[in-house]
Amino acid sequence: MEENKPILELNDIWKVYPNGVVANRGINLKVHEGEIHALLGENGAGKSTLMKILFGLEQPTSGSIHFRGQPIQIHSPHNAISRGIGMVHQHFMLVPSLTVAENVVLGMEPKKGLSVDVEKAFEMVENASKTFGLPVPAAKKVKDISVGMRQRVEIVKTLIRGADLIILDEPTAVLTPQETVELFDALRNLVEMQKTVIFITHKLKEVKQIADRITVLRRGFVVDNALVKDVSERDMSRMMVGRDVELTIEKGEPQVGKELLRLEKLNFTRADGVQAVRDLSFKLRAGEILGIAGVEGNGQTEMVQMITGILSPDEGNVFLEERLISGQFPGQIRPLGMSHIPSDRMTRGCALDTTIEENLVSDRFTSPEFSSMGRIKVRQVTHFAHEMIDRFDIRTDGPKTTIRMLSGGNIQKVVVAREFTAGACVIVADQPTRGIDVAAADFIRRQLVLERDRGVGVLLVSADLTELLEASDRIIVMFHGQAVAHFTRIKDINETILGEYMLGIKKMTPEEMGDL
Amino acid sequence: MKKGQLFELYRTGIAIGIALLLGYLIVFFTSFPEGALSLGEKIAQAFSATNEAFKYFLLGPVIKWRGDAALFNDRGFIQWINETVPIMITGLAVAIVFSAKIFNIGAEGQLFIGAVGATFAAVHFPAIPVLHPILVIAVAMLCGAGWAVIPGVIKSRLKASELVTSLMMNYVAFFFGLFLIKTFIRDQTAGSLVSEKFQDTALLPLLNERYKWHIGILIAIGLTIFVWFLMKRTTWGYRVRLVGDNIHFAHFSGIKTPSVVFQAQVVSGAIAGMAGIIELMGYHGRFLWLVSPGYGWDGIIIATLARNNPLYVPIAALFLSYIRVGAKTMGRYTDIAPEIVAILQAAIILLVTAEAFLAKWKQRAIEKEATRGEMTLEGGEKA
Repeated sequence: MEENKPILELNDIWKVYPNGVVANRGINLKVHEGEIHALLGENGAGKSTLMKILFGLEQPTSGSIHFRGQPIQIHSPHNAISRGIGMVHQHFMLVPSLTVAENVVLGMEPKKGLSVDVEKAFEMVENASKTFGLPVPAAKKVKDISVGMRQRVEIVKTLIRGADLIILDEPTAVLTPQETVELFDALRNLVEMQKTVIFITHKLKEVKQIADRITVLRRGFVVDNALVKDVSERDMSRMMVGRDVELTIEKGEPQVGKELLRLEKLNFTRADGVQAVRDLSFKLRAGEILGIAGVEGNGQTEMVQMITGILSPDEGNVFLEERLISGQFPGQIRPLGMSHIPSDRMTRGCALDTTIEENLVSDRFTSPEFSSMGRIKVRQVTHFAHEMIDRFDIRTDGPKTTIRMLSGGNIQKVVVAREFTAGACVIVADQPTRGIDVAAADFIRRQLVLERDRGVGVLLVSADLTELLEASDRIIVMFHGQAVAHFTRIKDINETILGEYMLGIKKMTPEEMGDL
Repeated sequence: MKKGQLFELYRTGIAIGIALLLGYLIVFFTSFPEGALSLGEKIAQAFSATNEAFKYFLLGPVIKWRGDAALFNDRGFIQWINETVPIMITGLAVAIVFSAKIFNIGAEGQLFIGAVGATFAAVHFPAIPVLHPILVIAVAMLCGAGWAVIPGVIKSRLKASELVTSLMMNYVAFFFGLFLIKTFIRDQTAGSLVSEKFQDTALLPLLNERYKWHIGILIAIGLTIFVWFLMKRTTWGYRVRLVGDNIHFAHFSGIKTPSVVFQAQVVSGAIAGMAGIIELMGYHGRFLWLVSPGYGWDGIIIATLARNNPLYVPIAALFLSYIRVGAKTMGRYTDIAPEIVAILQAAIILLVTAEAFLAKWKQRAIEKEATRGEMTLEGGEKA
């Protein structure tokens, strides 16, 4: 294939959010004119942030963008559109009560006097859909057309505004297989007209079908880029989930004790009708780390929320040391011996404008150790915080610093310090090392193993497979809300094997899985 | 002092500086003389007029000029302190609800209804020295708290926004309060609508008889310490702050958040309830408001300036009443309208509450912190 000149070049893009989360760490990306370029990566890998930067919704902290060889800055979506960059979001930005034509011309309506020239608008839309080979029902209201058609309307909308580079954010997530085929035909058609497409996804099959080139992101880095014809699905899966660093956690054989946590046939259907968790059952025993692997969005979040009391299961029960806990509130479950490192530490893990010491005692400030007669024993709290800062290696000016001033890794250490010292018998660690620096992540993993050796049962949910493989004593893989694989001999498996189950390429029978 | 607080201090200082500069420019241009003078002379005149006005504005509350001598202005000083008292108290009340991120803006109604209720106590309760004023204040607190319960209950039962209901309750308090005064306790001998005089035992002791410097400021200071202790040193205050900072996290930590939200409003109402009656007991000796005094609104300004920290509330209250007394003094001695102070207030509030104002400083510091150590990892990670 002849190498076209790059239409878009990103050089060393860094993005640090105001809360200190580093989403992009020196991204380099080259997109050639007239190609379909797939951007591959897990959730949290930094794809969305990168695309937001391209579409002007976020500004990069540093780095440069070249478009058609010119260095540019993209201040706003409006700015992006005027340069010829269009984006089709996962959640469509259409007005349901307006017609397709009205939606397409919104903001650039042809005028007749003061009113919109409806006929002209129709004409424009019809012409455009003919030119680009994307037929749309111009007169119908958006609320009356199918999801696939809405997406097509969105694409027409970007094209009519003169987009040469179109970003599609997980476009097939909402489509039926037939609609997907139609979309792909349309995309091929566009490419023939020298349009360029960036395609964000984590479905490997589709990449193989449609894309010319892939770039794989992981944890904010570009791990690899390649021509699609040179790599297999298996290669891509390896790139996506592969090894970040040589991780070695020293740990002995688990001293497994009695059963602590038991899930019985949990089922949960989300508000949007998707059954997130189906018939999920497993047990967690004292002194083991049970890893849960899965591409995000396969029911892990809902499972954790049902265990910790944020969600109530539709069906099924959760028992903690033989006590029924599902359906209770976090405030009731916590004192029974459950600790939780939430995946979203900014929402449920800490209070940003509150000090470190106050965050450390949020679950125990009424205990006699830290208060008497409603009065907080500030000295004890501070003393305890100093102890935690030393023991968990929290890098800070002191216990009276607010959480907001800390880096992501140190915030997580505060959360970990609180949850590990609560005296719980079960710790649910949901993405405990996501988005934090390597040293902090390593430290937290070691702490997990220490807790396990003390006889705590640890449920480790993680998108980082290396971490799962290194830390876990057993691993369950979830796909579409179900357990599809169960590994008890971690030494015999690797990321590639896990990846095949996570992405639905393989599935174990109940017999193969054995006693979960 | 921690980095974040220091940053806020700078920001407030710069905001005040900009506002004063703005005020100076406005006064300068409004005092620009007309007529056949040369431009240079006009500018010189406008400058001297503005400087004169700002002298009274900035120094008037504490200094008076007799000929060339500058003397301590005891009257202005006492006026300043007395005017600080009610807004300091409402500032504390608002700081409590705002700490919980509850936008209950009902302090105005609470102080009004508190003052009305306590007026009955001040007129009719047995005249026992010392005990009487305490009882009067207690009644005011009860009335204020009771008034705050209403939006609280509506919020928890019907999920109606406390912003709307507490605002509405202010009008209800005003008209209902006036109705009560007019119907039951109006002084028939007075020319305007005022209540009967308070009993002597209900009045606050005075520190200075001539200018009626009452002990309200001591009460307000005591209250400041109390609220500080409540918010920063008790489990109750800790709950309130945690709910305000991150309600999901508070819930997740096992705090009963609806109950905390309700309690914060009631306690705030009790404190706001005292704000009005203290001024009546100390200064006027009877109920005489025909318009709502506006201290509740001032409380919102003060709590905002003080970043909801009880210890900063007195400073913010002293500042606000100082520029107001200064503006009045300026209005007395020059032909500049004292309403200029409203412009300054607005500019300060705008800049202080505008989160983006100078936020780049902060962001830069955070970025530095977050990328430190990350840059070096880049190479090693690709192994």
